[in-house]
Amino acid sequence: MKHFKVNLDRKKLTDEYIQSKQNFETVLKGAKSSKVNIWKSGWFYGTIGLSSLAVLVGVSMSNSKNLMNDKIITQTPITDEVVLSQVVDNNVQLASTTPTETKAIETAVLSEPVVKEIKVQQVSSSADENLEKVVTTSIKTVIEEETQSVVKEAEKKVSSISAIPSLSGVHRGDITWEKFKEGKIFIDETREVKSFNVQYTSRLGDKTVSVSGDKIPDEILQDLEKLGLNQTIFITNLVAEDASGLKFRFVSMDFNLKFK
Amino acid sequence: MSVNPLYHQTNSRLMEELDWIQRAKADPAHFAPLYKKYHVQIFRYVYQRMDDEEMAFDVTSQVFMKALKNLHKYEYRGVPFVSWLYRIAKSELYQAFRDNKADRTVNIDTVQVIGFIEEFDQDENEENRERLLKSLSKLKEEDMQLLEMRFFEKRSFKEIGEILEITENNAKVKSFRALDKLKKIFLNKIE
Repeated sequence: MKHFKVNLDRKKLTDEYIQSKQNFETVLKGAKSSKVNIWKSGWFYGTIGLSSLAVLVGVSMSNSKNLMNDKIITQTPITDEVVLSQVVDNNVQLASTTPTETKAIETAVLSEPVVKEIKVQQVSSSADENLEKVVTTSIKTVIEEETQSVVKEAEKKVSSISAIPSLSGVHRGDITWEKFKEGKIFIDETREVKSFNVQYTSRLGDKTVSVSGDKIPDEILQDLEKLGLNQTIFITNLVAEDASGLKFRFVSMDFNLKFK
Repeated sequence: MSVNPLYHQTNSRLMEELDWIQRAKADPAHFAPLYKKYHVQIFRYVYQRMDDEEMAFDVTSQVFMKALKNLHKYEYRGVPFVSWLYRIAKSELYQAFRDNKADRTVNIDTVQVIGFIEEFDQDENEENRERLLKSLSKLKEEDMQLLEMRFFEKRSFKEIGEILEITENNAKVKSFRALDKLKKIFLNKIE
């Protein structure tokens, strides 16, 4: 097998000729400008290696924690409290559906008592057509057979939930300054708004304020009035409570505030 | 066999060289005397192993750039500075071959060809010359570089050992084994 090309009697170069090609300035510049590529340096691989190791350890520890939690859940009998919180979660998801859809979902949940993953694509078809919204939720429930009676009690409450929050009768879209500052957030007669977040723009920039109660606080109204500009305001994380103390989370609202 | 005077230097020359190195470590501009002193022999080392003259000048420049850049790492341990340059040259040379920028080539004179044939106790004729060139092309890289340094470039075993980072004795043994392999290929004892 041939490994090399062999030249016989190649013309010899003189020392003078080779010296004429010397250029120390180029070498000096080249040495100053040449930098080792970051991915070729040792510390780069060291850092990457350590980071990867940290991520691996983190992931494996997180997995082992989850496994331990799963064991605890399967070994502990489900109490009423656990089931109730599960139902509240379901209620949160179902709050903007029509009674018919709610019923259908509830039936599906109850008919599979052990482990069920339900993907629901809901289209709200209430009176206000602007409210059309696609919500994709994944509800994973773990319900033991002996807790079904508790769920059935909750079903009665769930089937009546079809309310949409509003401020001075407006759920979203344009709202006048007068209506905005005077109004309260209203769900229905059975539930009272307990808290929500308001996102708006003040003179100092964008703000998100957590509010207790059902009315926009005076501080926010003063901020808005000082700025005096038409703007979009978001009401999010809206939570209401019924007479029995059961909490519900409702869909967000957004208003185009009009000063004139 | 003649001795390379630029490699085997007197103590005063070595001290002078060390002084240049110290100055160059502080200010790269002081590397100029070392560049001028060794540019020709490093170029010849590179050009001996490749075909393209321009590429040989490029690789030689790379050698000195790298040397200048890594000069702070150089420490005198009884081995001449030029052997450090040869090691960089060897590394840059093989990098050029790996990057397909140059082809590994062996450059030999008719006189050297005749020397090998006589060493193998064979008749010096056209057929044997051709056979020797073919035999050289079949050698492994490790053997080829030993023969190049010892028989083409006339380097001492001490110098070969310092460039290849092996002992002088090892360089001697390996060089003769390489010569023996060439002889066997030449005499058709191995393919």
